[in-house]
Amino acid sequence: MKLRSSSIVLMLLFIFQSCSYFPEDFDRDETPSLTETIKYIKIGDQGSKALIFYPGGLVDPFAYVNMLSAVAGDDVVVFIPKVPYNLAILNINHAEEIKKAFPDIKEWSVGGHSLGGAVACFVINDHPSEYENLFLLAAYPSESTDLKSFEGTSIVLFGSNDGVADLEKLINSRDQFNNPVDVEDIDFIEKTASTSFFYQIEGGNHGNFGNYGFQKGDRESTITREEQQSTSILIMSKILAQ
Amino acid sequence: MRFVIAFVVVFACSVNGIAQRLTIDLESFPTLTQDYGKSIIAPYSGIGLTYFYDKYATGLNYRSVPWGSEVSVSQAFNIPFYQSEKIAVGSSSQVYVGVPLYYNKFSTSLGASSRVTLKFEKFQRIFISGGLGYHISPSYRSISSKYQFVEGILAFHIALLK
Repeated sequence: MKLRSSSIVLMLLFIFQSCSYFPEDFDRDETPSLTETIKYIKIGDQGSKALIFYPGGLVDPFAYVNMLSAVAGDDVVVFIPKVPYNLAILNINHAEEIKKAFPDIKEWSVGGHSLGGAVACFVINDHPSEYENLFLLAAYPSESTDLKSFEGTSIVLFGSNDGVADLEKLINSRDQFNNPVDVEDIDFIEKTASTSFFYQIEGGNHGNFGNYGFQKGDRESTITREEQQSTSILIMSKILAQ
Repeated sequence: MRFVIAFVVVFACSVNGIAQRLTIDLESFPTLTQDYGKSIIAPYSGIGLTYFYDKYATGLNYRSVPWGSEVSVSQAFNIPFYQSEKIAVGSSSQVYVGVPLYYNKFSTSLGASSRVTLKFEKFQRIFISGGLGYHISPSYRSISSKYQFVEGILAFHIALLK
C-alpha cells in the first residue's frame, strides 16, 4: 500500500511539473500574415530578414504572437518554433531546420524568452557566423556557452521585478558576451558589431514578455504588460531594421 | 528523463500482479501533414503503461502533442487473429480521453486508434504494434489550426508481468 501511494504521488508530481502555460486569446484577424505549420508559427509574408524566437520553457508558442507580430514588418519575418513538450531544449537544431526551409532569407537573427533564450545562445555557440543578432528576453547563456565568437549584436532585456530568472546569474553572464554595455536609455542601443547591450526594464517582470498570464514564482510588475512589450518591440524592431 | 524512468519503474512495481499482463509502451506517432505543398512527417512520442485482462486493456499514457503534452487513459478491445509457433497477430481498437497539461486551463482531448499487434514467440516479453489513430483537442481550436490530426502509430511493448 505504501509503495502504491508513493507511485501515485510521484506520478502526480511529474504530471504537475509538465504543465504548460496556455496562451491568452488573440485575434487572428489582427495578426498580419500569420501562418503555421506543425513545426513553427510564421508571422509575415516574406522578407530578406528573419527572426527565430524560441518560446519560454513550458509556454505555448502562441503566447508570443501578440508581441512578435509587432516586430514582423515589411522586410522582417518572424518564426516561433514549436518544440516538443514545449521545451526548447529538446530541439536545439530547430532554428537550422527553419533556415534550410527558407534559403531566400539573407539575414537571420535568433532569440528567445527564458529557457528559449538559453537555447538561442546554444544556437549562436554552434553557428556564430550565421546570425546577425541575438535577442535574449529574461534569459542568459549556460556557463558552457561561448558567445565571444559571435560578431553580431546581442541584446539582453530583463525586468527589475523578474522573480523567475536568476537576475544575479543573468548579470554575471556579462563576461560571456562580447563587449557588454549596460545602458539606461534605449536610444543608446544600436546595431553594433561584437557588442552586447544589457537593458533593465524598470518595473517589468518575467511573464510579461509573453501573453500567458501570471507565471508561478514571478513577481508583480509595476508597469503594464503593454509597456514592457512596447519597449521590447521598439528595441528589437530598431535593431532588425538597421 | 530520469524522472520519467523513475516514475515508470515505481508505478510498475506497485501493481500487485492481478493483471494477466502489464506492459511498458514506447510509442511514436508520426503525423503526416501538408506544409507549403510538401508532405512532412512530424513525429510525436509517448510512453505508457497498459494493463491487459482477457481481451481488454486499460492504459495510462503520457505523450507530446501539438499543444504541449498530455496524459490520457485508454480502453482497448483486442482480438487475436492468427497464432503459430513463431508468431501471433492480433488487432487492437482503442479509445482514449486525454487531459492536456496546462497550469491555467483545464481541457480534454479525445482519440481513437486501430492497430495490428505482432508478437514473436522467440521474444516472450516483447511485442510491437502499428496502426492509425485520430486525435483532437477542441479547446486548442481557438489558438491553433493544428488541433486535430490523423496519426500513424508505432509502438514497442515490454511486458513487466505475465
